[in-house]
Amino acid sequence: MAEPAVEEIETTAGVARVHHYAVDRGVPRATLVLGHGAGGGIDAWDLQLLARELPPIGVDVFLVEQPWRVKGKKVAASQPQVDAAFREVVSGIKRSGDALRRLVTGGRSTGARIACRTAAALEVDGVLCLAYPLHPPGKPVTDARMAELAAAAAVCPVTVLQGDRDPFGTPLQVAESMAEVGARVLVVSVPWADHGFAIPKKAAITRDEVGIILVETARRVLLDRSAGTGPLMNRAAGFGSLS
Amino acid sequence: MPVTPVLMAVADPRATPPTVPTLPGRRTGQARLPRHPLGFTLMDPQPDTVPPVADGGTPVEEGPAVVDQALESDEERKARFERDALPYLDQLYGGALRMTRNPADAEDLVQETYVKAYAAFHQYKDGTNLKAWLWRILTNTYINTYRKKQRQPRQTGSEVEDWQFAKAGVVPPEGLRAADVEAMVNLPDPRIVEAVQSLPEEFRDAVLLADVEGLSYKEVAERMGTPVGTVMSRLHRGRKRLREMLEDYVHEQGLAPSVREVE
Repeated sequence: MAEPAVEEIETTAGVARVHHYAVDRGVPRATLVLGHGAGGGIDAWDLQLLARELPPIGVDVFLVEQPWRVKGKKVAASQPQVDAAFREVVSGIKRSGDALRRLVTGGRSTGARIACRTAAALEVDGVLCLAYPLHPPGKPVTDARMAELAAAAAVCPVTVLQGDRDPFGTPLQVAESMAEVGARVLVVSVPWADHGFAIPKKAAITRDEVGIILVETARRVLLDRSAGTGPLMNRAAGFGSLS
Repeated sequence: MPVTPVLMAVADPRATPPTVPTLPGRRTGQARLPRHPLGFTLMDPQPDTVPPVADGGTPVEEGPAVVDQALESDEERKARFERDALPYLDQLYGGALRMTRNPADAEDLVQETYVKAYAAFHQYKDGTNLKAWLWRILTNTYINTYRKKQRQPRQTGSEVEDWQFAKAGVVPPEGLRAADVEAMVNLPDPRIVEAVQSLPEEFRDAVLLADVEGLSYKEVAERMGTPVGTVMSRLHRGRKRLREMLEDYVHEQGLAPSVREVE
């Protein structure tokens, strides 16, 4: 894998660090901007996997390090701050890129919530959630977390990759909570996987195969215009809007 | 068996690449065989940035089971599929059951995955990771099915509880046994050929390109020179007619998903 181009970007919440994994052959066909979670950085396995596997098939990938991480802090900044940093970084990427290219934002865990909350303002073409934290482990589903996901689904196609052993919410919980509020979200259940998409030894699937589920799903979200993820097709098929 | 030239052309691995199935009244050029860096992808358009990789005729240089796929007969290919792909049936069913939480849906998902895998098996590069290739097809099939279902009323009632996974997650129900997959991949049956033949030409071409050849909607549209929406509508109507025509056949052959057996 080619080394990413790293750029530091001033935001109102501080300096964010953006790692750009560029398409090195041909014209990029889509852009994916991903944020990290509240407990870890962009070295997360799934973020690195997508940054490695998507550029060769025509997707420009940006991994965004929040200013609080750049400063070396252990605790995440407040919601308005992380949202502002992400929004400003994505706006910049949007301005500098090809306006016709599909732009999808997303992230892992808390990063997915940030992408959902900023989806409407950024007018993105889709949101990709990696392990959406529907509720803290052992606690009931919170309305805010449900509403954020549903609000994103009201403005663009939303896809959630969720481990079926995720203590922050199972795929079934995500699907049912969205059905409850009439939101359409594509939930892809990752068998045997936990919040970090790790699998137990006894699973009938390997880590590489989990990776295939992640990459294939991301590929469909980013490159497959015929299957109903594009803004126009999407409306025609009734996917991604409130029913 | 009175097999028509149409399906023969599709089923003959020597016809690919890059020959397109010989559709009646429609002679087109070269099939594009783009590849994903992780291997073959069945269902979807690929970015033009990925160069086509020599396929089929290119012998794999290492590995114990090197097959010259260009010289392989239908029978040999079928035997290789059964030997190499069928052993993963249990594992894929286990994963499918966890993903769908519903035995009938899991069966459908795995069946469709194997049917597509068999149809595209001449494009699978021997010696690469076959289980990974099957998982790629399964993931795409799952997404396709899910999207279709989102447009249909929600079905409830037969979802698997967690405790049932341990019991049911390891062994597929009888409907998915190797013998049935064998029956399924032993196409074309004259009745299926007849049904496909009786479709109006536009529907038939769409079904053959999408479901037998495994092309994406976009590729089918390019091949037929129509918008993607037209392809989708023709496919929908073509498949619906086929389903109606073959309903009895499916039941006779025991190909219909049977929920009772696992309940």
